[in-house]
Amino acid sequence: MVLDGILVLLILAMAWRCVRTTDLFEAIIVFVGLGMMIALVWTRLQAPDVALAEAAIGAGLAGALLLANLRQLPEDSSAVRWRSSWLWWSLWGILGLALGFAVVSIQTTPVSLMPLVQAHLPESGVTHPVTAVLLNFRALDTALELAVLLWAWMAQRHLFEGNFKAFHSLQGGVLKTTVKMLFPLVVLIAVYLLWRGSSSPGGAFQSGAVLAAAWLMLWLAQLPGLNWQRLSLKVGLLGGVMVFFWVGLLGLFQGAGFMGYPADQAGGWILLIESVAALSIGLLLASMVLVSMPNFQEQSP
Amino acid sequence: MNWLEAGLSWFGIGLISLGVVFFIAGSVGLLRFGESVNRLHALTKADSMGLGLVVIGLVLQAPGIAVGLKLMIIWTLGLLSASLVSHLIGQSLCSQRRDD
Amino acid sequence: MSVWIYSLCALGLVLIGLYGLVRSHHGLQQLLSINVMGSGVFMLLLALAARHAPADAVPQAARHAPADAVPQALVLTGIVVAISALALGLALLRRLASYDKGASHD
Repeated sequence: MVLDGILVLLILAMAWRCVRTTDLFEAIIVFVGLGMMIALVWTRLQAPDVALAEAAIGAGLAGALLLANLRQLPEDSSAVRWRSSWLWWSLWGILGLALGFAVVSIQTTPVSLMPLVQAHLPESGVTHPVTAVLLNFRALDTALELAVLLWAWMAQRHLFEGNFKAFHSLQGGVLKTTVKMLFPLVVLIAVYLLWRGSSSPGGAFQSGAVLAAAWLMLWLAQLPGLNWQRLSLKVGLLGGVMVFFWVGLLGLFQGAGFMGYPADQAGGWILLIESVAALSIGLLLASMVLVSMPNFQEQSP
Repeated sequence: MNWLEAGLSWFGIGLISLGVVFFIAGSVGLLRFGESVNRLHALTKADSMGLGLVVIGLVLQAPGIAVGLKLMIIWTLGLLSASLVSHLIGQSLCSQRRDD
Repeated sequence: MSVWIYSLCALGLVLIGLYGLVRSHHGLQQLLSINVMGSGVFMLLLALAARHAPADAVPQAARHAPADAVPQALVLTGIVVAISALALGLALLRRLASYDKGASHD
């Protein structure tokens, strides 16, 4: 209870600092710290899956992405300054009150889908409720979300134009040796998270984020990593969405409906989809960050 | 047998509290010191100590050997990444100084 | 009770994010503000998911009742969508910046 109160106060203070400060670097650092604090909140709210994803994606990869972009952006992008007026503040207050009422009224209407989830859990092929929802009950949402990720990556790719800035690249034997040592371990952790996902917190998203971190690490240490021209890489990027929809169509022919699996094969199909999806998510996230790096080139060094 | 478990548990709690003190000291150092190198010093020294104490305290309270081993792996990874990161920060500080 | 605290915190995050979105005059900070607002929405969803079982359940059992998995899956999806939106927004900002630079040179 005390811990909850302290966490909430800390989060609100950090969010305020993040939007108030005029130093962009500080704003990014506070934002990353905020992500970590929010990951703690998710564990307090009994959502360990979300906490893992938030710590890896919301704090880790977002931080890398923001810092990589910071030096390529101008100091101040617009000349128009906002002036606070009483009208704006009163509108803000009214909105706050309205949202407050909405939050209060939503608290008194307990609707939970959990009994339904638990009733159908035995036929979903996995034993962890969140994975069952993601890859069986609401599989279409997850497939479309992979499509959104792919689409965002493509759009980013088309906006990309090579801009090379002076950049102190990291180097040295210590970095290379450590990364060589850590890389297999990090891949092992990704596989472990994926494998665990069927029975306990973990799964394709967390595993993909860890894989992305592994690739970024290789790239930062200037070790031979991914060749962005290779066909197999492009297949890997598209793979998650493709396999998802093919398996979905297969379900249609087998009479389980689009994106449905026969109950006795569900576990196997889910594992296949999750493995390919984790690979795709990892590749997409890694390339999203890499394209933002100041000295990114198409060929790997 | 029961007093042994209770004693170990209290010992673990003591170690974790001591670790938290080290963490606080490291964070104070990070905030108060002016030079980046001094800040790194405070952070890596005190926080490695704090992390170690907290992990040992948690291992003493772990329900099984598997959990304890996982905690030790996490500790090793934490130490490794902390030393690597501080090495990289130090390196970029050096190259900045050479430029000035 | 902690659900209440986190619901109010969610409200605060949305309002702070909205303020930052209007106030800040750099695109990057506006993107950060949008993400802060998004975190507020996620927090409300997860706080609602963690609400204890109805009042007639035994308190001891209610404390160990698992949180609702559907909002958790939604938030998990939302985090990935949020980072793709962030990446795309940053790419647009970068392109805009290079466009401005080219325009001022001419």
